[in-house]
Amino acid sequence: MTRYLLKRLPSALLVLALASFVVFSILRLIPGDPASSLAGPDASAETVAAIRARLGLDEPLFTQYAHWVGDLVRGDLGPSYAIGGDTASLIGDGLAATAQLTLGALVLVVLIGGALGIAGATARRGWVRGAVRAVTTGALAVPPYVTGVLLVLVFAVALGVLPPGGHASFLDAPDLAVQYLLLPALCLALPSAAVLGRYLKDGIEHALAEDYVRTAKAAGVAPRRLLWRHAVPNALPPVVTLLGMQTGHLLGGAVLVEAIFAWPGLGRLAEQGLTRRDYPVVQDLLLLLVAVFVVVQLLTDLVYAWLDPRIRWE
Amino acid sequence: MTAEPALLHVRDLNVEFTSPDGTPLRAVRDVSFTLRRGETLAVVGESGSGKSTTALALTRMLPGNGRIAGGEVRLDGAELTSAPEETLRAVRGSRIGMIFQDPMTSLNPVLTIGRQLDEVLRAHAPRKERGEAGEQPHRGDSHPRGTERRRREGGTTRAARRARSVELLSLVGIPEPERRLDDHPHQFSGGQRQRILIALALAGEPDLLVADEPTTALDATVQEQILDLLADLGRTTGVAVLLITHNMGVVARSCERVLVMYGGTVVEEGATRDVLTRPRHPYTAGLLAAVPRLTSPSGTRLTGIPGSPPGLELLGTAGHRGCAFAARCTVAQERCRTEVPVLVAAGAGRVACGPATDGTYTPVALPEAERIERPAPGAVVLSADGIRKTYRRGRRTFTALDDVSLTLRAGETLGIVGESGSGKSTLARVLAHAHPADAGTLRLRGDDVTRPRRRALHDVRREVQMVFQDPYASLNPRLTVGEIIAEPLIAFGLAADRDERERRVAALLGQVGLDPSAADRRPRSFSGGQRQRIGIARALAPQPAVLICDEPVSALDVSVQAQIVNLLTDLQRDLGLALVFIAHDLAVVRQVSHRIAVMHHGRIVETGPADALCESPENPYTRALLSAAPDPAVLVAA
Amino acid sequence: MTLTTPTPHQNKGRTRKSRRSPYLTALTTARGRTGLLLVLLVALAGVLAPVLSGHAPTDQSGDTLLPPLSAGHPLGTDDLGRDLLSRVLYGIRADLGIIAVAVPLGAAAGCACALLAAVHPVVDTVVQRAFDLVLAFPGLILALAVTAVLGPGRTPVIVVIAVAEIPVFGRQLRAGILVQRGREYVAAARVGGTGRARLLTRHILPNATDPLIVQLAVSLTVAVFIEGAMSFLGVGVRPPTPTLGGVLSQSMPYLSQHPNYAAGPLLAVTALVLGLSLLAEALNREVRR
Repeated sequence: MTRYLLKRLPSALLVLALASFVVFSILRLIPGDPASSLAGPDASAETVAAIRARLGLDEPLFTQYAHWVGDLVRGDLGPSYAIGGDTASLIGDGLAATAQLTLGALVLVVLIGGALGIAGATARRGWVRGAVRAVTTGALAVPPYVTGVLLVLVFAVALGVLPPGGHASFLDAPDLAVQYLLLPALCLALPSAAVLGRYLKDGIEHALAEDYVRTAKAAGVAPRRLLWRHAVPNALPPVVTLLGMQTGHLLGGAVLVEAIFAWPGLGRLAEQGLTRRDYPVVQDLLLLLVAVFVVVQLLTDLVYAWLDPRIRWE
Repeated sequence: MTAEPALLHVRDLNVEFTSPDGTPLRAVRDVSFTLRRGETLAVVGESGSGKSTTALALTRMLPGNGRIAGGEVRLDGAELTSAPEETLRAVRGSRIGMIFQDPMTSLNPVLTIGRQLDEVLRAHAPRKERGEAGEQPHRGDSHPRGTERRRREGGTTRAARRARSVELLSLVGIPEPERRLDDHPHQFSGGQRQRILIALALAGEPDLLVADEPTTALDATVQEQILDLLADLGRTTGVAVLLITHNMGVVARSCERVLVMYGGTVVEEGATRDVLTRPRHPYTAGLLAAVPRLTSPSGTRLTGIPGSPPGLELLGTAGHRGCAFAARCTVAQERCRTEVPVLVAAGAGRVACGPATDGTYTPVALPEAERIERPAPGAVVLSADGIRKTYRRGRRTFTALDDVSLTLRAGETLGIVGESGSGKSTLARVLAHAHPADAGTLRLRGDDVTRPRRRALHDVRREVQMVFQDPYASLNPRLTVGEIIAEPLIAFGLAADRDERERRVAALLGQVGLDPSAADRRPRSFSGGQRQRIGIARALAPQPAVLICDEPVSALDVSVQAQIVNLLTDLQRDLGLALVFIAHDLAVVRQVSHRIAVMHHGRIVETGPADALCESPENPYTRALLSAAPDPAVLVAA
Repeated sequence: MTLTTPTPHQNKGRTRKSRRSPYLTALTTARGRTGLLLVLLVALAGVLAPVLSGHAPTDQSGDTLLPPLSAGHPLGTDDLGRDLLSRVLYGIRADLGIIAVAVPLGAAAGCACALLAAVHPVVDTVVQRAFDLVLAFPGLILALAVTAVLGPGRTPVIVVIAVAEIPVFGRQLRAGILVQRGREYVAAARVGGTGRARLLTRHILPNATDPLIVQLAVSLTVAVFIEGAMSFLGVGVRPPTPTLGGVLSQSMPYLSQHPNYAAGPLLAVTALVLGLSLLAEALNREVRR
């Protein structure tokens, strides 16, 4: 298992290194100069130059890149330019909120997607299959920003059972935090859950038609155990890969959902940082998101290998 | 009721499949047979004969688009075709166990063997009351007392089930069963997997074991071991066996009675010795004549049945009239095409053939093998010296070819036999320059062509062509047959313009016995044998000197195999081709080859003139191969 | 030749059917027909926008938030008094203009990468890591960054969609090529003397493209969503030019009081996406046969 991980590691690190370069370049491509926007419209050329020197922006681009990467490796994220405060704590707070949202959504994706997949693959009644199809198609046909607003209308405005937006920390008020989390997480989870459900349904149906299920059925194994002991374990590995990819989609979708539900996460931080050309915040934040995705991919591969003994023994 | 009542009684069984466009297709029609306790009955037939469908229908295991359209299946008198699903689940495994053809896909890849056995034992843990009390004495007699007691204890706890699993694995001959329980299927060889499948089928201690082509995917030597195991189990546990196979040798070896199926119906039934020595139905006679005999000398012609077995579509309910075999039958009369023949008693058996019943057709004895006039081999065309090829899979390396040397003369056939993994397919690909050799020298008419430059490679390829094993996978599904055959003509610049190309394609199609109109259709509308003809036409297109045939008949039915083998020998005679004929069936190889090379673990262990090698083998491995090949004639005579 | 000519394996009903392209067969299924109808309806509405609507999409009248079926405004007006019907129709037009450029662009770039990767193992590694890199950036963060560089407008939306689709198509085609390359008919063609370029164009690619056609339909739906999300975040096509996502996101604040405002654009988006999904499903079923 360790060897398997070691084999994957180099390409993961390479992606991370490439990403740091791309992130750095994108920011330098943004028109406008952070020093002059920091100094304000009326500032003199000297003031701007002084700010530029203070921030190290007068150095050659390569030196700036080397400084940034060097600081990162040492764990020193430095202060933010424009937003104010420490980059590390800004990103830390955003990450906590976004992690809450995406993890909450991930749980819902597994629960809803799993239920849809298994119901879709095994239900004998036509209407159950029809309902599963309708839900999966519907969840993919309505844009998430509309779903979000509809959820708010139904649960917050009409029924008044859940808050329409905002955020509470899990540590301070867990019950409140769950209430705040439910709608945004659901809104974020629905499309991914539909995709997962469809994949799982196909996978289980495929596995149920395999020879080994026939073998077990011919030996008298009951249908319920055919499903849970034979078909589901075989349908899982590709679904896990899909789940890894969907985690990336969730991180992306979080930007939108955070905007709808006023959720103070990384998406909003990225938006602020980009409009105000806060190089350190945006650089570190983008690289962090890439790193999260890369780690998730590694985990996915590990879980896949754990689920499928054939890979493990290669 | 003097005789013992039958264990299984099938009457007028009909099975229909719904085709994708909604029309019902009848795969099995009016099949009737009985099976007594402890008896071994063979069901023999070619692809599409309905034999596997019949087996699946017994316990209603048909796939989703299939259904029983009529008839009854009685197990100890209890009707199964209309029984509730619950009853059938109790029957499956504990009354009727099943073994399937492909041991590679029939075991769950992500579960350990122990888990899979445990699942089955758990399913039978709370013993259900089954059958009437009257049957008890038989069951009691057929099981040794110890087993009976163990079975009752077996299902209770996990530890007990594990102990029983170990017992089952050792019963089917898996060494170190205790340790191997925790292994996954991919850690076992094909033969071992088949043994595990048998253990799974035996776990519920059934009265009847249905084995659907249990040895088809296995090498001859392993096949022999599995058949021995089944025979032993029949003796020790008293289980009845319904053995489904296309292999007459397997039938002769292990079954008392045989049921011959064709086109979804039973055409003949009787004692194995009677059917195999005095077939009554022209199809049975043709099938027996088509089976290559190890005793047939080199240079004799195989006997086939013209045409190919009917597909389901042809047998569809509408428009089906007359005998299914009439279209291929050499003695068919006018009424055979209009009247459906009835299965009637004939001698000790039954036969469904009008002419055979009323005596207008009497089968002739096996015809004497016809010698082929072929000129003596000429000069050496292709030679290989010290060829070596290794594959790397992760950190392990695997030597596929180890110091292989051979020569091939013009107009000569070199047969190469070996079991799976012996390296014979790799050798074919190295000879045809589909893969490069790692070491050694290949010579074409004396020139070194081991690692040719691109230009030279092109010339070599023109001279050395290849016929592939799988007639389904080796033809591009997107192209028409004409386009497929024209590809080499274009690649080698052999036809000046479109018209000439079309003329050449038509001529090639004619050469392999296909109608020129075939050029406009895609491969999927052809049968296996016809596709193999297309593959041969493609290989002949650049007018090669050497034809490498990699198991060209392994995927074909016996009756069709003869057509392809004879086509190849005719082409050799007419065109002076040098042939490399690779197969795992020694009998076929002997008949077509001048010389034979036996491969084992990537080496040629013995080589010599075909007849001499088969009659007085020197290498122990060759001897093992020879003795494992089940020859119906020899076995029945013994 | 002593052989009798075998009778061809004729199965008349199916031969005729099998000769037709699976894409056409897919379009004749119930699913395919419904999907095609929906997509065509929406597309037609977009194309005929100038004919169907009596107002320019940016003309403001004094009457704001009129209910549907008002005189001259069949769908009512929006918060600035603009005719909703013409905004939806022109929105469809704008969306079609974006996705019809962006998705094929991304698909072509992705396929080009996959073809390059097929040339040499070193290129393959490079291309693969590049795909990983693009996939590693969450799509909407990428959208924010691209818009920051290029400024808001139609171009960044197209760039974002195209870039996001590159690895999707690239990976699919690469996997397809790898699978087909291992098939025996390819080995047979190679032994038959077919050169590398012809092997790729005549044998491998035609058999590897089926999943791409399905992916095309799926990606078009994704593109509709990306456009909408970018408009919602304020980094999409600049107002007052209408897009489906733009009109829809402008209607969100009025959803509880004036649900008709959102109904038009939502219906259009849903019909388009549903139609494309149904088409994708129908194609997928037929292609996998």
